[in-house]
Amino acid sequence: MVVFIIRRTLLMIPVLLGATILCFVLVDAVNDPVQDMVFEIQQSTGEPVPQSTVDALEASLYYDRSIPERYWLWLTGIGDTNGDIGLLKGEWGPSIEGSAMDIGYEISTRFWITLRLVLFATLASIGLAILSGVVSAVKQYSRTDYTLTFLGFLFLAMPVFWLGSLFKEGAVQLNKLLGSTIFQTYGSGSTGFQGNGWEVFLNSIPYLIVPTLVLMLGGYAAISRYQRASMLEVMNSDYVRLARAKGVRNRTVMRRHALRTALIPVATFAPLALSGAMGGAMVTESIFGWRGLGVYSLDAIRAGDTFVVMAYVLISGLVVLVGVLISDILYGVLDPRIRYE
Amino acid sequence: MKRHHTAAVAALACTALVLAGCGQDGESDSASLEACLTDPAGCNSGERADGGEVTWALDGSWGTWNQNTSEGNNAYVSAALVGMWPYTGQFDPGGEYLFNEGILASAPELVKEDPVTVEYTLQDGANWGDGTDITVDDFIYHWYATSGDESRCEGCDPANITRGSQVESITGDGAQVTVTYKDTYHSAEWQYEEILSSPAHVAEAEGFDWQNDPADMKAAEDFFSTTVPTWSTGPFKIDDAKVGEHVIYVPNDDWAGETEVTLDKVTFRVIDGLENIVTALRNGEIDGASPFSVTAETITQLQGAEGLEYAVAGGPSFEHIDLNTKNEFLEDPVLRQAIFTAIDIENIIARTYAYVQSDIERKGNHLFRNGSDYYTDYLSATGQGTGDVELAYDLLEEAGYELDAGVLRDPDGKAVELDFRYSESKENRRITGELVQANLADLGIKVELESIPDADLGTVLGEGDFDMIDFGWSSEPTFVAAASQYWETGSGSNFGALSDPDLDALIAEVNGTLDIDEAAVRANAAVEQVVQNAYSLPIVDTPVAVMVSDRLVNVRDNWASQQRAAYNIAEWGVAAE
Amino acid sequence: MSNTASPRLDAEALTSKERGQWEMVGRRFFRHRAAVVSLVIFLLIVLFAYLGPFLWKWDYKIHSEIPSWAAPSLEHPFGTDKAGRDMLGAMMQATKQSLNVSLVVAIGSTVLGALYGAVAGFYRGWVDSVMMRFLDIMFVIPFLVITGAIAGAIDSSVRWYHMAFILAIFGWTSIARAVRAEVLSLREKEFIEAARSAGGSDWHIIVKHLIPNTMSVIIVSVTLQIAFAILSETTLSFLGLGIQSPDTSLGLLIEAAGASAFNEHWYLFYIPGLMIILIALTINFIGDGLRDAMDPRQTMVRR
Repeated sequence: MVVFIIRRTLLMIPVLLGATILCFVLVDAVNDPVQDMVFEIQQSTGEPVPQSTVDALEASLYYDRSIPERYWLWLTGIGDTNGDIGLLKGEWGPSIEGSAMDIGYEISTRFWITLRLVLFATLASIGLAILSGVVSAVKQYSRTDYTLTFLGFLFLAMPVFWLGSLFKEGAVQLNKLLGSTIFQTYGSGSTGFQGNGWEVFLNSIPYLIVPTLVLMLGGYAAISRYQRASMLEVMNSDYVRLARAKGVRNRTVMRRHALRTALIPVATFAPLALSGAMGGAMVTESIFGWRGLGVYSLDAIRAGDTFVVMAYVLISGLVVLVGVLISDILYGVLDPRIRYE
Repeated sequence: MKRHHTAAVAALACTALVLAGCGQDGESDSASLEACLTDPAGCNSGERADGGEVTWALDGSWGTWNQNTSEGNNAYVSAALVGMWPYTGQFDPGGEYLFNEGILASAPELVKEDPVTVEYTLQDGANWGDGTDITVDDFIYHWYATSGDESRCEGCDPANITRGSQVESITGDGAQVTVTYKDTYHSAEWQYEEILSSPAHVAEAEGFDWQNDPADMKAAEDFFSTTVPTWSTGPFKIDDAKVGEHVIYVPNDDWAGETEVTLDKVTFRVIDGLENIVTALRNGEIDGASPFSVTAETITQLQGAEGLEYAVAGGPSFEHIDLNTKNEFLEDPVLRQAIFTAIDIENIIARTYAYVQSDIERKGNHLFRNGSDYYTDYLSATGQGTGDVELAYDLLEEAGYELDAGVLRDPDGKAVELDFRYSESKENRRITGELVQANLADLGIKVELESIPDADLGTVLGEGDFDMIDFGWSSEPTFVAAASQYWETGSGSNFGALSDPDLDALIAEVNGTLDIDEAAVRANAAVEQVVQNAYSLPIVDTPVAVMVSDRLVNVRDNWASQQRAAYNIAEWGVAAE
Repeated sequence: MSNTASPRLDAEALTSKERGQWEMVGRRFFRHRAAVVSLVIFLLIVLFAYLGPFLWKWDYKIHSEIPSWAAPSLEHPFGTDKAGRDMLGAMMQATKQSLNVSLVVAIGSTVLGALYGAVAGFYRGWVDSVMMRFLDIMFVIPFLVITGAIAGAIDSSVRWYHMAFILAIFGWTSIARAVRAEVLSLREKEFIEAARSAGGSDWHIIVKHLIPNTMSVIIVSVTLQIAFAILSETTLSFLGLGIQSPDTSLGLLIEAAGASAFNEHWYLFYIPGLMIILIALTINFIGDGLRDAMDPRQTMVRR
């Protein structure tokens, strides 16, 4: 088991390297943010930008080097001039947003913001999925089953951005109806709010409800179909039939034998769902103004802010790979038929 | 309209007494944003109650706290720091310059013309909000930071050095500070130059020997870039802030200004996207915003909302169509003139900007706004923008062009084909393109529309990768540097590469006088020459909106200031019952 | 997901061995009520998008005689937008563009994915390892980020074919995995041995024997790809990273509608949204029906 984990962890390195190289080339080759910055300065000052400033800007963002040099610099930090770059040295590189934007700090605070959003949504969607999957399986081919199946398909077909826009506007209307601001539509908490974890959580509840609902409905359907299939398989297995034949009460059979086994696939799927949702929350984040990782990367992509994109690729890649690894490990732990050499 | 008229009279009487809380007496309409049409500088004024909190949304973010640097040259950080930054002053919406009452006791004085020498008198008790007074050192610090001189600030990247590079010396004696410029400095806008930025004593306390060591000077600039400014020369000081996200202000008790501050707390928070701002405003999450764009959809939203006021007016930039003189067809001024003549500007406006601003006017001068004292219309006389296809065609025929089966051929027999470029997200520019396409089709010119990804506008312009292009320029009240930047041969912002020696000579003269009225006359001569060249066709001042909760007073938009509605933040307040 | 069809299929599966494989699949499929209804609706949508423009009097462009913001009426069944555009005409065009994208993506990514998966599974060994590591890399790269980056890099307006190309480049990985898994077991079967001893080249075996035998996997993936493409295309367009003007798409229409869900311009928001849902929903049901029809094992499950 330990050997398995170590081997898988080591295998992550080449995959992450490959992913970052590919992204770096794609993002860097097509953007020239310095030229656009210079244009914006000219546009707002109405005066020419001195060449010395352009040079200083290029040097501070390392745009005076070639793409391979920039990647190598980003990775190792060998040959940096400002001491702000080099992943191996723990530096994430400069952001074109400005020197007060520390990518490392942004990534770490935004990670928790995204996690807060995604954790509840994923837990809720797994809960909903188990419920609907089990009911569907137990009442197979009944009207309830068809209705639940249809609902699942419906939410699977619904674009998250559309559902999000609808719910957001719905929350505003509901507020108006109730005459108070219960739901907030933008941000993840009161501006400048400070406190311990619990206080931050309490503060964020009005901001959390609607986006969580959106993410939950967008995510539960796939898991629910999974749960229904696995429940059906178990219910048709010999040992459940044996238990029934022995005269054990139906309810007990369901709870003790069928459900417990049928939960294994979903349990192993959970880490993967969570890590996938971390990467996929950018639409919800951008609609509800959560300053999470997804929105950060989205803005960086639009602006051609290479080092921010790289940080995001690295972090989200790591989250996905770790999610897959935990999934596989859980699978082995929960399902005795699987063994790792 | 009658209502507006009476409002204007009432408001005119008010401007003198703005702070005394005018607009309370009965039917006066100056207490609403509606009056801004006729009284831009005095509308929505009213008596303020003590206390209250305001949350104001900004529609963009920033990544540094130092406005001297190229990264800090950003309208949003400028607005976010309006409560504490030592600006020299502001143009008000009426175009009048108001000096910063917390810093200067009186308007700067021109004590000598050759070389230009300007004397500043500091306000009694002008200070940094941390117990230290503003001194001549602070003036020198700002000069060094923006000098562009490696021996003063090594490796610095100031956004502009037009003033900083021209300073010869700065001396001071108590409240009197004298700035002596080099012989080459002749700006008619000497009064409005920015003179201060960051506190020199803070740099020293951090251990930077900025006066003597250019590397330390750069380090001090970097320090101010990454440090939240907790000092303040303004009516408020920062209580809490996060770069690119929010700034929370509380009143600055040490402020040297006269205006009474009533608000207990002002929060600036970033909300991306106009749609999100309007939704948050309707939902009561914010009290107002003056975003840099407005759409007809958002106006529908605002109309349907309760407890809100909004006003739409021309904003701080203007739309215009430029032609690229490097293009094989467009290098011919006759063709340029014909194209501009065939474009129907009034029709374009009616189908775009008029949806959000019903009283919008066609812009007649590149440098001066319609209604400004210096405004002169040189365009109408030339027929440019009239959509007169016949006139355009006559011009072309005379120059040897031919219309052959609906295709315009130049004297060499080549079919004229052009592209028209615009920023992807700007719907109105796209519609403008579609309409130009239709206008020029009547002339036999095939136009291909090609959008530009938003982040690439600068690249496309810089590389001259366009035949026709629709984009925006700043329309600030200052104009002395603008003509040379837009149109002088070889200027980095002369994107269509116009080169006209007569124009260059006129432009050089703009910067040769210290008298602002004379400079304006000379700038207008340059505008006239540009119009003759048929190089750039202005359309409108881009409409922008201010949207405010109706519980606030003294909040109004200001196109002439980078801080927009926040320009008079000291006067903001909650309406008295 | 198991089927939602009638349980009579069990008997059918056991007794109809003599019929052709595809005929059987077709029969099973047409017993799946939801799938058949979906197929009809989907075909109607396709007709709406591709034939509609020839029948309806307005196209998707701005016309000065069209009033702005007219509510749905007989004259303009889907209303009109601000600039004076008939929304029924605009919906036809947008649906067409979105369908264009998804169909091209489905075909492109399926061809690419099937070949990639078949080659990897057929050769195994180091070829397979290298190819699978590359799949891992693609799996790790955040999809929206990279498609967005490429779309943003296109210097001129992003048209539907740009979008289709980009989505196809990044959409094929799941098919490749599925086909590879299938091929890994197939390549040990006797008929492959036979083909090999008859002197068939590798390419011949892959294209003529392996891929046809993974058809059931591939067809189901195609339907999933269509749903995936339509949702990602509209999402990217909504985020401003997809199709751009002067081209149009369902996502752009929703983006333009803004927060009008509860005001008088509600139709601008709901109609394109419902169209996306309808397409994705019917495609998913069709895919479900196909899966049930082509995988007899599923219907053999005892109850």
